[in-house]
Amino acid sequence: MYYQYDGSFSGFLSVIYEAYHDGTSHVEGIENICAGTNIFEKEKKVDANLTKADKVLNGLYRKCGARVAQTLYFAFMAERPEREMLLFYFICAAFRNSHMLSYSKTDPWIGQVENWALQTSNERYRMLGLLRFRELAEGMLYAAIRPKYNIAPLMAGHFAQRLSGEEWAIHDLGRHLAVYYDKKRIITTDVTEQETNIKYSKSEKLFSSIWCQYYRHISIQERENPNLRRSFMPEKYWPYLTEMTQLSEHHA
Amino acid sequence: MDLKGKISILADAAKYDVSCSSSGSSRMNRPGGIGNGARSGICHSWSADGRCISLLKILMTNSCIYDCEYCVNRRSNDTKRVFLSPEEIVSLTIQFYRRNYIEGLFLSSGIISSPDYTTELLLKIAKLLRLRENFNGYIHMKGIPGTNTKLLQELGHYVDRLSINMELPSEHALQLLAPQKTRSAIIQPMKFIHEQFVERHSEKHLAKYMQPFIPAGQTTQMIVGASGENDRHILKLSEALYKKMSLKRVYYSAYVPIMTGKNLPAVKQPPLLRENRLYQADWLLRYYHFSADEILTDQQPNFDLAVDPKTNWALRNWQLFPIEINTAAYEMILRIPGIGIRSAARIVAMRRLTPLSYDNLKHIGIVFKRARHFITCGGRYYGLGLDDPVLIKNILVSQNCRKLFQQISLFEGQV
Ligand code: SF4
Repeated sequence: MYYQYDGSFSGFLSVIYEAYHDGTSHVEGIENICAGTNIFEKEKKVDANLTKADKVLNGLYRKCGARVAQTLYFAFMAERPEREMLLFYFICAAFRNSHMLSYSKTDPWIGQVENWALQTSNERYRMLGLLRFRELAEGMLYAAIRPKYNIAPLMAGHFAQRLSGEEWAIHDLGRHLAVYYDKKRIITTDVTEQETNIKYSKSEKLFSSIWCQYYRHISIQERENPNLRRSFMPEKYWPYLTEMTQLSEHHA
Repeated sequence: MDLKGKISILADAAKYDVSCSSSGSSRMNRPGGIGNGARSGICHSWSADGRCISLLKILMTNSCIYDCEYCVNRRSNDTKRVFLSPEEIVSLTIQFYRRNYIEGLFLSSGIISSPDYTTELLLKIAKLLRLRENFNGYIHMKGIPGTNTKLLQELGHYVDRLSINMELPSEHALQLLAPQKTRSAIIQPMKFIHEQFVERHSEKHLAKYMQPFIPAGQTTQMIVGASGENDRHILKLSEALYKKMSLKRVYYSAYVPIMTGKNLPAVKQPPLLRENRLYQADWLLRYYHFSADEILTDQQPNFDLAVDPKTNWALRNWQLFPIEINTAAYEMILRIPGIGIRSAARIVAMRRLTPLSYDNLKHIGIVFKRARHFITCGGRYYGLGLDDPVLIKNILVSQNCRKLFQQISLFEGQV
């Protein structure tokens, strides 16, 4: 049987739930509707269902622990086009053997899934530092990012803890989605209309320019090492870094 | 002068301090508060010299009543003096933190009026941040030499890390270059903090009821190359500090010749390679069970700049090599050049299941190119220098030069 889902993580987990219901040996393919292709005739369309998704994820968590559950989530968020069947294999293997991750060196498929998860996790960790908020006129903090993997939802928890008393949003420009925090909950939404006329608060310019000034002066000239900087902070992140954008304006 | 101008001057004055680490704090945010600690630290940016920016590293003021010869802030230097008020520092910290520029504040200062008066101001800032602003991000403050221990104790309750700089590796150098500072004014407060740690440790069962006290520990920093001490002297000092003062880290900063003075050496470039070798040796002390006496001997008191200290040690003790990977003790495996802590642990774990072959080794994550000269695997030797360690050195040196950039980056990238 071929399954179709909406491209979301809970949608994918709902498919897994159905697949276990139908008998896993029937699964021939899992297809993301958002990816477009409809090559099969007899698809079963599965709607994202939070209860079912929860059951699968909780089951996995209880049987194999947090690391396996997180590996699955992070690997999914790497958004590789061929991810579905491999992750399906991963889940089946996990339910069969809870210590499955220790085989990742010998089973190339499990190793692959782990590798995706690692890449997502690395980008997330780097971005926890490199993300920059700007204060909007209404006082909300707004950050624009363009990450390779779908990490915005994975960073939300971190910022909800440290900026728990603030209203903030992280906008993934490439995926047209945003996570928004209203001082209580985290909400993930699609961003259909791009706001072109963003108004920043009065003090935003002051603090961002002090930061840029600070950035320039904290470097030791005698030790300048542009290659080293680039290796830690690749150029693709620069357009979204306050200190790097205002610097180039300054030079121009 | 406006805030921006002051920041330029005070960041300039603070930048020679090496440490910018934000690790070691797992302080939680509190209801209505802002910020928390990230145990392993987070880098937020990298400056043009490739160093990680994790904290707002700044001086409260660059005025100073002391006259340390190597320092831009010394009293006799004709430079503009500025002062950031506690409110200004608090507001900058919070506003930078909200925008995710930083993990917290690293505040140091020139000495105004007296060490105690200066520390009182630092304490005021720490309290404003923690108590009024409910700020739970990282705070690292400098301990001013000669400060009353009562004040340090109070400060310790609000900051995550406190560091008192050794500045120079010997009493003699202090006399020469920092005449108002004495060894004991530096060591006493360090020792006091250490004793506090020991005391608290013995009352561990009460930890829940105690106010926190410098949870990320104390660190220090030494300038390398401004005075005549050899590397062995410096390393032995670090060893003593780790052992006797429970220091978390000793930082080394290559002397950057920004000032001139009659007692200062005439150098053009900061001794970066030497600094790098010191960091490598420091790692050997802290994580690889080496002692300073093993790394540098009386006969050879300075680093061989061509090879790293671990390789150097191995070549000097060639009679112990090659080491059989399948039987050697963990402590010996740690000492093989090209094998790190994690791969050493992995080797010991894996060989319990099955004897390790040459192929296994290649996938275990060691630097095989280097390690192969020092090991046998199932009795076979894969290196080139069995009878001639000098040959190995020559091979490794040419590899080394290419690796230099990478190595330096490895050590400076530490969070
Ligand atoms: S006490 Fe510190 S700030 Fe003052 S001159 Fe000496 S090193 Fe510089």
